[in-house]
Amino acid sequence: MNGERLFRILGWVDEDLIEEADTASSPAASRRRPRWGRAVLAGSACAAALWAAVVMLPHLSNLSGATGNSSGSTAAAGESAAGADGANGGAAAEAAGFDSYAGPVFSLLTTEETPLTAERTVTWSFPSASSSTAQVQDTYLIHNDSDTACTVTAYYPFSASLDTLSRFSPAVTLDGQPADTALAMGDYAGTYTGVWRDNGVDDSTWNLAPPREWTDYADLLADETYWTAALTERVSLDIPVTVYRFSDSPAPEGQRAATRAVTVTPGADTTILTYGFNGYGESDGLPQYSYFLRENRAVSPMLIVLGTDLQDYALAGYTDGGCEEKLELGPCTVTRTETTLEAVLQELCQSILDQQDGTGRQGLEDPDPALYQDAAVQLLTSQGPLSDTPADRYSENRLDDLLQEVLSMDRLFFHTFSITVPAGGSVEVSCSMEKAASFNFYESDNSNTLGFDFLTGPTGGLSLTTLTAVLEQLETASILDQNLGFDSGLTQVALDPAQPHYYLTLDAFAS
Amino acid sequence: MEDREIIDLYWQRDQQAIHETSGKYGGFLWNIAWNILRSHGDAEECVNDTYLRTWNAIPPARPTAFRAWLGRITRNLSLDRWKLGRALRRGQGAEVLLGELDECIPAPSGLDSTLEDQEIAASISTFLRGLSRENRVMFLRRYWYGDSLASIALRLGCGEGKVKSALFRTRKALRTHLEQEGIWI
Repeated sequence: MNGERLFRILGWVDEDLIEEADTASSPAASRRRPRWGRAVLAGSACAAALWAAVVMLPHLSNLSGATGNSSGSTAAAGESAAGADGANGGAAAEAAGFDSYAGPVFSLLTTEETPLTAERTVTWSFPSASSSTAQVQDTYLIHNDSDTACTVTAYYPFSASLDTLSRFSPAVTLDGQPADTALAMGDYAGTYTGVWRDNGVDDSTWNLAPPREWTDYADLLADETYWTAALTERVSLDIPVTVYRFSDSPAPEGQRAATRAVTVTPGADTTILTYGFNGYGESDGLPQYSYFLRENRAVSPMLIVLGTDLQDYALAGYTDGGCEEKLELGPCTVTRTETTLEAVLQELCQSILDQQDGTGRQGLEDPDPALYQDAAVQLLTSQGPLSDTPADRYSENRLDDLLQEVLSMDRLFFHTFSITVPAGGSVEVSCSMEKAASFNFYESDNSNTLGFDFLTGPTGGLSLTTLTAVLEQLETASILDQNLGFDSGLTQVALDPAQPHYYLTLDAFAS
Repeated sequence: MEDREIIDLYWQRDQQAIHETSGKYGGFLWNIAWNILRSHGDAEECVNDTYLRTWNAIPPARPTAFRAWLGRITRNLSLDRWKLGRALRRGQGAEVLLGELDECIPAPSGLDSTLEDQEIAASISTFLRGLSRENRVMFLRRYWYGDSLASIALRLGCGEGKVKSALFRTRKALRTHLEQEGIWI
């Protein structure tokens, strides 16, 4: 076969030409991704420096020994290490990994150097195995042994998604009274992966890779860009956009898949986001977007144009989404408006929440619309179409996908609040929460197990002097594995605050 | 690690050389194999075979352009595997690439000469240097790296239609060049 021989011969063309083809990309390609995201995080260097100096540097020394051997989800079983006095010996045992990891209970922390010390008690209660959750009370008795009162800003991190936020957000009290807290939100806590996640050769980013173990979350707290973004007030995304909305007459009788196609002529630096469109392709070298006429929509399909406006567009009707067989459709009204991306996102986020009618996924309370919008902007600018390094997953620029996904992504939230401890006095901070279990998928090995765990740091400027774990109620489950020391009927154990991670694995169906 | 240091590891018969090669070029090689084979498993095996070939070839070889050198091995191994017919999916992979290249094959005449592959490649290199940079990159991305039209369009910031028509013109021009050079493949 001559084509084959020529293919092999081409393998011998000059190597500098091969290198040139490997490194080449055109200025036009570079221009296609405007650097919208830069402004969003501007001005946050001070917060970053503070966090690095106070929170992470002391804690990294603890983590370094722990994270180094945890990448493979090691499963050394049952090394509970309570000694005769109940003190944990600092065993390095680790829980087996779970298919779905809920994240640990985190530790209260401050970003300022303080004279404060704390006695921490983590109380676990398991009133019902069927709920797959635990009730956790994480209490800190904070002492100030100095001669002056001390006021600090405290942070309490927790893992959740926007659509489970109302359920898993801790209630914070100071000496028994509700604390005046503000909520900060981190970006998606996981990463992206290709189809072949484990063989290390597929470097695409089509799939989500949520956090799988506690070190993933610990790494996030050590990631300057993550918490900087979380703690920095977001700059409004006032990017001018031109919006085209399409409103059609009803589909012809009997044409269940009648489709409207819009073929556009973009400008040199045009970026197009879509909402309400079902298909994307090309027609004569131009981008073609299409949608079904019979789909119920709260918002008309829209093209959101960033950069240079469309030079032209053409409408056509087809019998189905393949956009091959033409079909005469009724008139379509196209409305062109000029606004900002911020305004468009606000409209779409509110519309999606309105459609949920106050009862979001899992029957929980909807997130705050402004928070939802913030999360959408975070995703758009960090991994979405407006990012310098966009994930393949969002490469079709469909806001429908992105705005739905942003609701369910695992992320870290932070309750922030002020604590004042009088000279020589104490304050009790208590964080009470429902904590979801980590679990394995149905019919997998160990699908009956539920996992719970907690971290002992970082605590920043707060010095932890004692750590106690209490098991308050365990009526319907039995312990399969742990490194806490709840053996021989013990329900309260003293632990080593220097050990970064503790875990408890239950058999949910034991009677 | 620099290429020179990796090659030194091969010369020292240090198996870390393979680890370093895999870490630095594994994804690059896998993409080449995937573009030809369209099979994850077969692409994986070809990349692993590339490491074995490299281990056996260095020493005595000391490649100057290590990346391209590795890629060439993967291309050849992938083509061999494709010929076995184990991984072909209709309409994708090498079948399409080779079909397009058939258009470049000059018609035989009485003045034809049969040259060694590397001599023909040198002539093709001369031809490629005469093209615009954009057309040259398009051609090599398609027929050296096996990229899809969409991937090339994305890389170069243009439409697929432009890539398609440019490749068509380049294939025609290459055929004319080979005929003028009296090269028969």
